[in-house]
Amino acid sequence: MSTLRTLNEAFAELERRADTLSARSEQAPGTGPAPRRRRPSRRVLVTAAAVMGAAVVVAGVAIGVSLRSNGGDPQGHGAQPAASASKHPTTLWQAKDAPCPAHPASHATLGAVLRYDKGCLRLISLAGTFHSPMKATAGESNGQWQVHADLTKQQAATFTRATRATVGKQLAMVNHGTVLSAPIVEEPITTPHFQITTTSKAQAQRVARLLNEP
Amino acid sequence: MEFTEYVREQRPSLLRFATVLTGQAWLADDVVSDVLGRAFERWDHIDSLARPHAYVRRMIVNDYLSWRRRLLRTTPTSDIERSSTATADSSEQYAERDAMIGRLRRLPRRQRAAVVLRYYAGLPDAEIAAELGCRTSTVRSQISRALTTLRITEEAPSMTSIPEER
Repeated sequence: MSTLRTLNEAFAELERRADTLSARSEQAPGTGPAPRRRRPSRRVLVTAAAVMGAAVVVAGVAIGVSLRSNGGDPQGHGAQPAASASKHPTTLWQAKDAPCPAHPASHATLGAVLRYDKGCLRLISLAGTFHSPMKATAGESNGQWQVHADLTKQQAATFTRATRATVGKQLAMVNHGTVLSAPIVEEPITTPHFQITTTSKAQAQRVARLLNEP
Repeated sequence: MEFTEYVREQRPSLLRFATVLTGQAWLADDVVSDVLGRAFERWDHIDSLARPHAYVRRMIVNDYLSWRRRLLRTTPTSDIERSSTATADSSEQYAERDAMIGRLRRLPRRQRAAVVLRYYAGLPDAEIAAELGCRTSTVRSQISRALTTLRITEEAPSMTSIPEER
């Protein structure tokens, strides 16, 4: 398995190839930035292909429309409107990674497998419950993206209890069937502030948004 | 900004974006040239927009995803793709990176575009959805499927307590 770092290295290598090509075309006179004229032969080919393709496209669109109306999106449950979802309590579960089923559960129950942004989690035991959203912000320090969250007294007590029982394990924060975040607990959260160190900027921003308005 | 000025300043970054998107420098060059040709015809309109560069980038994505582009499947064989800069001590890392480029190339185009827009261009999911003309949940499921194909696991984040005196 690879990590996002390999993906970024692949992007950097492709950038380098683009720069090599730019350098080469700058050296050759007359092939500068001016947009090239399309060759007529290609246009004929394109037109012919387009005419042949048209029938296929029409058929394809018809099939696509019928599939879409039957199919639906298996991940649709992830996008809950914030206003209605905030009525539901946020629950803390001891969790561990699990293979993704074809149809993940839409509500958190013991043993359920829930999909989150990159994979699936099996919820093992309920570790706590609270009702109000947290105050969270995403930020970068020392090259790492983090989410800082501030807790109310009631939330802090719940977190202390839940994290004491799950040190070294994944703790999933679940609101109405959506996993807000599922970090590994490195130490018990004994203060009303905690931070989640994420692997990317996008992940930090997503988690902060979800924690603020679950 | 004048069109020629825009091209001089932004063509390299457009070419980089298009190469990451298409996986092939020659194809990226073709796409960027075609798009700039069309942008020139409507430059007065594009220049009056709030973010002309974002608009041109979107033209590139659309061109890459277009039927016309899919129908042309010619591949020049003279293009030099691979660099021979690999050294003994880091060859494994290069191999892993090249394997990743290969897997990227085999992704379906829309999944590829979604992955590139999130992890290369750094766009939020809602903007990617607007750019690809689909729902945000569809973007997420496409990226999730793509990451499985690319064999990428995002390590689980970790949680720590922050001392009171903050």
